[in-house]
Amino acid sequence: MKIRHIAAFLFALSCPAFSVVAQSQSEGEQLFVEKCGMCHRDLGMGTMLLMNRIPRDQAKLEDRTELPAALIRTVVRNGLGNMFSISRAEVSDEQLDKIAAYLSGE
Amino acid sequence: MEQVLPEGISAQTLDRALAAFADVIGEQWVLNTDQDRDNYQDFYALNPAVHHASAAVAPASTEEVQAVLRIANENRIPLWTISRGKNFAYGGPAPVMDGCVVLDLTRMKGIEFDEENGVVVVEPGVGFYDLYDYIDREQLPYWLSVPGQSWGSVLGNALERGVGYTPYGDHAAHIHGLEVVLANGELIRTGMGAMENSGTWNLHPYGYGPGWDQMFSQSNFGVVTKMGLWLMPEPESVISLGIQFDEPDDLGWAIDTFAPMRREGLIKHSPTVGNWLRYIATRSVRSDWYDGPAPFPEEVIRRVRDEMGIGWWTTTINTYGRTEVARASADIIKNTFSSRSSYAIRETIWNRGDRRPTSPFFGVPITLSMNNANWYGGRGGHIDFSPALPQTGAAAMDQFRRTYELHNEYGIDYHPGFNLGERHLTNINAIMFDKDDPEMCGRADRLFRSLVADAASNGYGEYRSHIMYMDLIAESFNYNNQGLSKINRAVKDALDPNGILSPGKSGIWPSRYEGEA
Repeated sequence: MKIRHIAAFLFALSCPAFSVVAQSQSEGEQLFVEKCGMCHRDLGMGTMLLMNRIPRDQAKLEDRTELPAALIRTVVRNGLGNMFSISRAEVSDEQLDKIAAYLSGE
Repeated sequence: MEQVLPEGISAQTLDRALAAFADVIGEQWVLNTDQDRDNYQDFYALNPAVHHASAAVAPASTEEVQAVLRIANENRIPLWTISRGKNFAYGGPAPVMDGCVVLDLTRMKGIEFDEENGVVVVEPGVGFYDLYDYIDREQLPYWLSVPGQSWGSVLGNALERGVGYTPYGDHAAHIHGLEVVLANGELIRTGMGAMENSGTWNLHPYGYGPGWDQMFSQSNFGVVTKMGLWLMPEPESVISLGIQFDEPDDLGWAIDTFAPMRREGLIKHSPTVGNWLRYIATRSVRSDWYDGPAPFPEEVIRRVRDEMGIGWWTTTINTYGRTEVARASADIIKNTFSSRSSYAIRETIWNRGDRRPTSPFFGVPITLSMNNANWYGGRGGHIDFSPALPQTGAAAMDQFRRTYELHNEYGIDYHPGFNLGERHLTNINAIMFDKDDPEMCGRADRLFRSLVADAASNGYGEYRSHIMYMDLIAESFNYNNQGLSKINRAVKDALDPNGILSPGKSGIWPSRYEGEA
């Protein structure tokens, strides 16, 4: 049953994974960690909700095999499902482009 | 979303002010497109047709905030101040009054850390994750106290009197010293910070004369640009007692058992006794269990509890500090329960050097809590009804029965937590709904209003409120013909005669907008 899996997942993870920004990271990755990581890394709200909706190995955005930059920009500015939209004050257009490039590989 | 003008302000005046804001903070930080306005709506709102901003401005420094306030004053432009705008379930970034320009302080990210004293001075844009990362990076021996949903601002949360899970969980009580821009653009510092070159700004709690820190909490009397906050030294050990209570009626004796230990200081943090739904709503969706109308039948609740291994009520009590002290305190707490039968305790021990669990009990920020927005499986939300009660089992049981009954009457699932302050209980109820079901949204709204009236008739008021209900809650503080509202109005008009700062916040309206309430 789905919920059992989530409970097991919760139990297995006990390390904050959002805190480390290594020197070697690109600016896009650093911005993703800073601006998005709280919900879209391990145990985040986004990751946990997406686990119910898409294949589990794709729930973390950084694990997606296909995530177009245009979709990222649209979702960030408009919200989607239970994800609120994000203003240009919080993530500027320039920063959003870098995050989208990091996640999409474009 | 198209622009809604603030009452009494012409499009020309607003445009003139926005141009003047752009001159001082840069054009790119004046946000005035339809999409920008959408970004300042309450994404989890019961009613998306109201609480619309006309634009937003995002200054990056105290000096820019001062300049923005001077321009707003000259043009009588009403502003709505937010730190990071993540106060969801209480309104997010949206203003009470339509047409306000949101003063968004998210770009102000200054952190000054006094390692010797365990005090941090933060600006409004610093989130709990930002500060957690800073402490982690600098390897400072202090823990944060974070709220259950940690995506917001450290400063904003403390000013809203948010609550965390460690012994420093009463965030408002750990504010020591503010820097505030007044409506006319003047800058002040509170407490010992009122001295030039103060050497004890954030150390001495009060300063000289009246203390003003609380005046700027949940208010609209100024714009706080810096806040001193005390942090907890990293404990040597944390012993966690996860406790499951079997019967609904166990709430009464549980509260009566915890309360004396809380007063005594044996329990140093504010534990929450929550029901089975509070536990599962972040970990599953409703359709995993049941498709019928609320309330959940007892046999379904039994199945939920068996599958998840939880009680009707569940809580975690932690002891923090030196290893010997944490051990002794945990043993006393466990022994206090030994005469009871309808409960189970599971103990876990953390010692310094162990990996910290991803849990707010350990000062680690999370965003798991808002998963309950997904309870109905679609675009969801919740509004929180949070009255303060006396810290007795009888009061808790009575509130529980009445509140459960009202939820059942309106067909809304019951999601309560009873949080033990030092001398009171805060009863936080998340009223969850499906945003795409207007009929359910209507029921949620009527339930909320009934709950406020019910609590007030029993002498209980809310400690915090959603923007939709700020006037409703303020009206319930009615001692001596709304005495509190009168002094709030007098202070508001004295400090902000043009009524430009967050009109309607906590039900405080400047005379300019008399009749808006």
